[in-house]
Parts: sequence; C-alpha cells; structure tokens
Amino acid sequence: MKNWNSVEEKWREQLLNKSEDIPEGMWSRIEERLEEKPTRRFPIYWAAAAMLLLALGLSWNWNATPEETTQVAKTEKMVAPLEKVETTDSKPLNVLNKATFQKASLQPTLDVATPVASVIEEAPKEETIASVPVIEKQEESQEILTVRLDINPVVEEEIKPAFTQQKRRKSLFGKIVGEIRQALDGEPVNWQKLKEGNAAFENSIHTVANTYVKTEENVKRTLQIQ
Amino acid sequence: MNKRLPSFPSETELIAACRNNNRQAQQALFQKMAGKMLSVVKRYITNTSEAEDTLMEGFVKVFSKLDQYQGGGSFEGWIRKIMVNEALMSIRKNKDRYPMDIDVAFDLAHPDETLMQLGIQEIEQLIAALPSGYRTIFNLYAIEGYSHAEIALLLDISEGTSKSQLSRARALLQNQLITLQL
Repeated sequence: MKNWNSVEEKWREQLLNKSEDIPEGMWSRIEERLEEKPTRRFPIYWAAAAMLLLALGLSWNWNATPEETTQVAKTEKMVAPLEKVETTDSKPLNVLNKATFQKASLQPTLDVATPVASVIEEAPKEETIASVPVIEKQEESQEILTVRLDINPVVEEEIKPAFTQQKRRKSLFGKIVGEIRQALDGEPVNWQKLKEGNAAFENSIHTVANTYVKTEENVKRTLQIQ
Repeated sequence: MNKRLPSFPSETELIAACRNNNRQAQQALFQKMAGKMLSVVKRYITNTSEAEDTLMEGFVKVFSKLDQYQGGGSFEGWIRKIMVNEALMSIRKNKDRYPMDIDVAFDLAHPDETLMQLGIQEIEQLIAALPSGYRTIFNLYAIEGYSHAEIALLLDISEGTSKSQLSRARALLQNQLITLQL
C-alpha cells in the first residue's frame, strides 16, 4: 500500500519539469513595463528647493567663519593689559610659600577713562577669585599681597553684538527659508523686507546690481566703438 | 520571440547581464524560464489570462529584484518563489479565500493506487478541480515542498489549519478520481 508522500513525490517529479507554451507578445508587454520610467519619488520643485537651501546654508557658513576669527582677535586684546600690569611694575610681587599664595580679584568698574588700574597693596584675609599669576620667590618675607585690578569690561560689551549678529544671521536664514517656501507655494515674496537690518545681504544685492549695470554700460560702449 | 538572441556561456553571466539591464539577456532569461513558470502559476490560478498576467508581473519583479539574488541557492528556485508569491498575491487580490469544511469519508492513510498511475495532464486536471484554498495549500506543501510552518507564515494562518486543509485536499483528490472518472 502506498502512502500520500510517495504519491506526491511522483507528482512533484512530473510537474516540476513541465513547461507551458508562452503566448506571443508576452515579452513585448514585459519589455514595455521595463521601459517605463520609475515614478519620481518627489516632484522636481522639491529637488530645486533642496539645492537652493543647500547653497544658502553653505554661503551662510562661509560668511560666519571670518566673524569667529575677529572675535578671537578681540579676546587677545583683552589679555594684553593684564600682562602689561605685571611687566610695568618695577617691584615683583613676592610670596613666601605656596600656602600663602595670594588671590587677586578682577573687579570691573564702569570707569571708562581708566581701563587698566593700579596695583594696590592690601592685606585682606580671605579674598577670592584667582586669575592673575603671582611670582613666587624664595625670599623670606611674611608680606601678604593682594593684587586688585580695575578693568573696564569693554570686551564683554564687544562680544555681545557679535553674538546677537550671529543670532540675527540665523533668524535671517530662517526667514529666507520661509520666503522660499512661500515662493514655491506661488505666493509673492517681499525681498525688501527680508534685507532690512542685514547689511551683508543688502550689500550683496547692491554688488550684484552694480555689476549688472556696469556690464551693461560696457557692452553699450563696446557696441558704440564698433 | 523568433529573434535570435546571444547565447550566454553560463547562468552567472546571464544574470550579470540582466542586472545591467541588457534587454537581450533579459529576453533570453524570459525565454528560458517562462514556460516552466507559467506551469507553476497555472497550478495556483486556473484562469489562463489571470495566470498570464501574474506571470508577467512576476517577471517584472524578477528583473527589478535581481540585485537581491545572492547566488546561494538555485536561481530557478528563486524565480519560482517569486512566481508563487505573485500567484498568492493575485489570489488574495481576487478575494478567493480559503475553503469551507467539506465532509470527507475516505481512508487518508491509504491513497488509491490509481493516483500513482496518473499522467501529467490528469494530475493537473485533478489539482485544478480543487477549491482555490485547498489547491493553494496542496500545491505549496506537496509540489513546492514548503513546510506547514512556512505555509502558515505565507498565508497568515495557523500550522494546524494548514495541516487540516492539506488532509481535506488529499481526501478531495481521491473523491475527484471518481467524479472526474479518471
């Protein structure tokens, strides 16, 4: 007596190698399907918008770099008066040992006329905030010195505008993106409003416009000469 | 179809050319496999035009997914799997769902001896006469060699359902021997 597995095995052998006649024209139909261009994943204007955003992003980064370097230069200027205080003082500041290492306080005042102030000798017991290095010597003197420097915090004020400008740049970038989106939606864009309060953007527009006018004039002159 | 196609010395070269969208290579592959694959599809879908449409969709898929073939198993087996999947999708699309219970009173452990003597056309006729759901499970298990676990995954049914449907399909095949007077 046979079981189902042997029946099915025999059927499988017969069926697996069976081949049918293919109707004519089937390959042409498949070829047509293969020739069909795949549907775009996203419309062309999205690609254009992406390119524009990329270009804007790159130019924004490019502009931001020189600003950072000027900021570093300004910071260096801030350090210079401190060094001057140490070198101009004819008497070096003496400290007995590490235990009596003195701390100096930087107390910014609003006195603009005296950006760097004098060295004052005092003997406070617990002063805080160390920022000025004091020269240590072997000399055995119990004298305790405190260096008090009055510095006009000009630098802090200078940093602030740089920061806000950068922030403004970012917001401008956001605005530009917003306007581009509007333009893509078919709404009118107010470029005038966009350039307000942003000199770099305005200057760029003027440069482009001037170049265009000059080129036009040159072309006219050349044509007249000929 | 009668246009003479370049011959490819090996299957690997034929596949590589197909991957490069070489139309002649694709046509050569189609000519080589289409007959067998139409036979596979027709075992699942009895309607000829539906089966041909399914075959066409299957080949479009073969050419578009050719990069996924790693070369591990038989290439024909890979194409066959695509065709079977395409046929199952077509069955689902047409909502030709799985069968209702049919009372069967045959000794399933001992199939009729006549079943062993059947020719290929009679076998096809018997299988084609099964209700779509039984036919699908019988084809997947008995002819393609899928396990009940694989069938359960493919058809989103339980393994138990797959087993019981196979038993009923076998019983029906015996029953049809008499009905179809084979």
